[in-house]
Amino acid sequence: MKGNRRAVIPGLLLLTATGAFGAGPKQPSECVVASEALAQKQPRLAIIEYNKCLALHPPTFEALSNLGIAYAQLGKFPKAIQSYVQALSLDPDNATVHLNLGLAYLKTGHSKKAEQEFARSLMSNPRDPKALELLAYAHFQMGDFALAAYEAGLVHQAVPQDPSAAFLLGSSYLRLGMYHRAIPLIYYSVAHSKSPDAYMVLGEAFLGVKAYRQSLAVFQKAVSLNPNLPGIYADLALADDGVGKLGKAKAALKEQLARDPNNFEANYLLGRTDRLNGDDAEALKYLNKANQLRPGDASVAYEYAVLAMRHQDYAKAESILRAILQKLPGYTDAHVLLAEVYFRMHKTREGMREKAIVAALKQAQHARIVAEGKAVMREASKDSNATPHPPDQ
Amino acid sequence: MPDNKPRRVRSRSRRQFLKTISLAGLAGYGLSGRILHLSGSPVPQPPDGLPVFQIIPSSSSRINFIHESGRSHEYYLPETLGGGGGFIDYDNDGWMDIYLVNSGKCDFYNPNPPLRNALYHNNRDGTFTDVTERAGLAGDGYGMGVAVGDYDGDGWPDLYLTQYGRCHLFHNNGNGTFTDVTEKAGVGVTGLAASALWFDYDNDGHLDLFVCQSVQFSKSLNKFCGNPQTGERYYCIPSVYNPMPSWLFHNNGDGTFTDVSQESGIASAKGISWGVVATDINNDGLMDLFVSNDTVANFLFLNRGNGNFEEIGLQSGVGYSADGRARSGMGVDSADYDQDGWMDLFLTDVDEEMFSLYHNNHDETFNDESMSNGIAMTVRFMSGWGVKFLDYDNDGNVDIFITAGHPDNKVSQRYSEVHFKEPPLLFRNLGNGDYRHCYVDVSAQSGPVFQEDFPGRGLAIGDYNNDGGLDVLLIPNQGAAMLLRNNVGKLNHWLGVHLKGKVANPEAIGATVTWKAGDLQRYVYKVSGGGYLSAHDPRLVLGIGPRTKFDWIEVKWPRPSTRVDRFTNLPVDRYLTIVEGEGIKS
Repeated sequence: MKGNRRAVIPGLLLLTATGAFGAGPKQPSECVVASEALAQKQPRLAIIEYNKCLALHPPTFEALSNLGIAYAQLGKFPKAIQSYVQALSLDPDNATVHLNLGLAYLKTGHSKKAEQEFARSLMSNPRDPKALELLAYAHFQMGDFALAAYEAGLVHQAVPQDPSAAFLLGSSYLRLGMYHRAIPLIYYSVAHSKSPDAYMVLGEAFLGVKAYRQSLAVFQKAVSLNPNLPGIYADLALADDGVGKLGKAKAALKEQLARDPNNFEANYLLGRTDRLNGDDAEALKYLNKANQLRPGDASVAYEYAVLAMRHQDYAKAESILRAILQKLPGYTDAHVLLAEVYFRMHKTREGMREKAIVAALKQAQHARIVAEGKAVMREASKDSNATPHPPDQ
Repeated sequence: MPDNKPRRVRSRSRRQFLKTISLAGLAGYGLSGRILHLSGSPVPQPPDGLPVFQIIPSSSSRINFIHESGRSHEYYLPETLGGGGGFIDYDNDGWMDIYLVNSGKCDFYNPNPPLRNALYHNNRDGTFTDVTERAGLAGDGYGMGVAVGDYDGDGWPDLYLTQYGRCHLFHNNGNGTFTDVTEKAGVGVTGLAASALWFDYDNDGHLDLFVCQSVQFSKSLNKFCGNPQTGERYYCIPSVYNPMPSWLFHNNGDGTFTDVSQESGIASAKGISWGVVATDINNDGLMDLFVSNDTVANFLFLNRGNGNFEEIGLQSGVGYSADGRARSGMGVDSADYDQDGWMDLFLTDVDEEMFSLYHNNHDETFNDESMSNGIAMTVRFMSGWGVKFLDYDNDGNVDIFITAGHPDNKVSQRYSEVHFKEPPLLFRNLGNGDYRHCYVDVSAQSGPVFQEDFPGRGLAIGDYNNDGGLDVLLIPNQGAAMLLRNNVGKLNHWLGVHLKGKVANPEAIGATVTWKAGDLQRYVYKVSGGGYLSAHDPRLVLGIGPRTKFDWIEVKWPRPSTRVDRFTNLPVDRYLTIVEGEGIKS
């Protein structure tokens, strides 16, 4: 489904800072004051006192680590990272600081670095489910949903009552198109958190199984809890469309754009809608905007290619499809269209080449299905294989 | 995308909308939502409040056939595929009889009491008599579909029965009995066969045989599809099995056939083939084959002559959806729906894939005009099987009848808008000459059958009561066969022609009939097959609307014949037999 292309982890995973509060008996007084401030959740004071301490005394692991925590509590993640890195230079195997450093990297959008830190934390403390959960989250952010599902699954097995692990596992399943596995997990999480984000993700899972009425109800609940939830109206549009409320669907997309003109999904969907509706001028307006928001996005480019084919501008379609395939060489649908374009241009040799690629890709897909014993239902197969969009870049 | 588009009047919400857009990953393109009530004759309504298509109860027709699929907890694939059947005038009395195919004994099913196929003789009074035993057509296996054709040119229609297991050819002895000549003929296809048809691919005047083969399947190869944790099973998507090549048999003219699947190029393409229609897409006088495939690209076997077929599904634009995706192709048919002189194609598939109306671009390519005609969005959540072009109201324009139902009987548990049992559909051609906007969904105005939910599969077209209105035989999966009487065809004027080839093949498949009545000129190309697992009335019904006389009709016989016969001073509202070289016989 289009909806689950969004990031679906809405930030439930907030680790309590687990740095070393404990002040040793030989700590200088500035450091003692700093530690007490941190313990009393006064990060600003803690930062001042730790900086004093570090200016007057040789740096200690505890002071640097806790300074990092104080910065993190204030959202000053680059400073927090600096402090954590210095702390680790004094105690390279400290699992907690690796974990906190990883979290800081996550917060600054450095998923790859975060992944490394969580992995190191796990090496030091292999039994820590939180580290594994965060590693799963990093993998989720990196787009490796299979790995994320595996790791989150281990956490969920170990701590089945943990709603955030259930949510992460459910979200990973969602991204893998395994909607039926996703729904009970996300449902569990919703029951515990009642958060609008969780409702939204649950709705997306329902969309995945074409349970449009349920998804509509859940999205409406999410809107009632937080009408400003990013992207919620685009989701509502999908649900409205699914139950046949086409006017409402388009209105929801427009509502989404009124609230956030830069919402990629809404622009893309309106463009696609208008393209399907034969209103090419309107379609291009929205698709152009979507393209502006995510330059080179393959799903938008694909729409351009289909439009070009419709207008028999085969040269244009060819160049767009070739660009898509340069990025995504295994994108079978694009090979199919490119082959059709070549045949329409009477470039038989190139068409036959693309046709052969399609055949090879299809054969590989079939072999994979058979080898993996992926004996799926017709609809599930469509869910996983038939989205009109290539994977996220 | 306004909400105030015309909507079908239906009781259930899932059918209450005419989709004009698609948001959730739908295929297709084009101008949609143009469900326009354009110029053209109004939707005809029969007098006395009768429905356009009226369900004839078995108490009236005495057709008591119930298709039993043997549905089991093992969810064997063939269980969800049948049933098939069709019209055959086995005794040449000019009245269409009916043959229905059931699911008998096979390696995964042993029904007790045994099931059998059924041949119903038309008593010419709206009733039928079961003559199966005498005819020797009870069958011996898990039946699928049927193809009817006079393969030996003796004037009596023969019958090819496709099965899971082994297919059979039954020779019509001309005395109400049939003889199984499969061995002698050499057409005993084994495996999981589906639709079949007779056509003369090499224009030698003999009917050859094409048989759709789907996947490699047997009880021992059956796979588990479903929830491994709960053990709940569903019907597998066929792509989990190995695709298979279909079969082409050349008629040697002596009662035997030669398997030419390999050398013709047919076997070079492995598919999961369910439906087939023989047509001529490039007007070269050689019949081509459009074959639907499930989860694999559809095939368009272009007949290049000299016994060679080239598969050009992708090249021609009918292999995949407009978005480049292979779909679950089920039923197919072909007709020139816009009368531009080039044969168009139709394809049914499953929900969210949307059926395709392929308009011929005159250069061996096609564009899908299903969206622009409003068909695609109407059927968005539906899964089609049997489909047939027909002029049900005899206004001279080709309409479309479709039967539907998702292959998985548990699908609604997972997808609330998708159903195992679905009502049939009727699209009426406005005859406005606009190939992009000529169809209107008239299901809601055409009778209670279009509100009936059932697992549609086979669909056969034929005029069982000889009133000129093409009737419909529906053969659901695991259910009673349904005969629908057409109450409007006879309200317009028409002429039925039964062509009999002499030099040309006996069924005159590939013939073109052109007719003129006042301001109306139309033509029809006689295809073979079409639909799904079903055989249709071989007669052509030429509609002229309210006009009262034909100026002329012209028959262009298929090769090897070179004849073109023109007839004038024709009667209306009756059937004629036209024999090649001999003229009108009756």
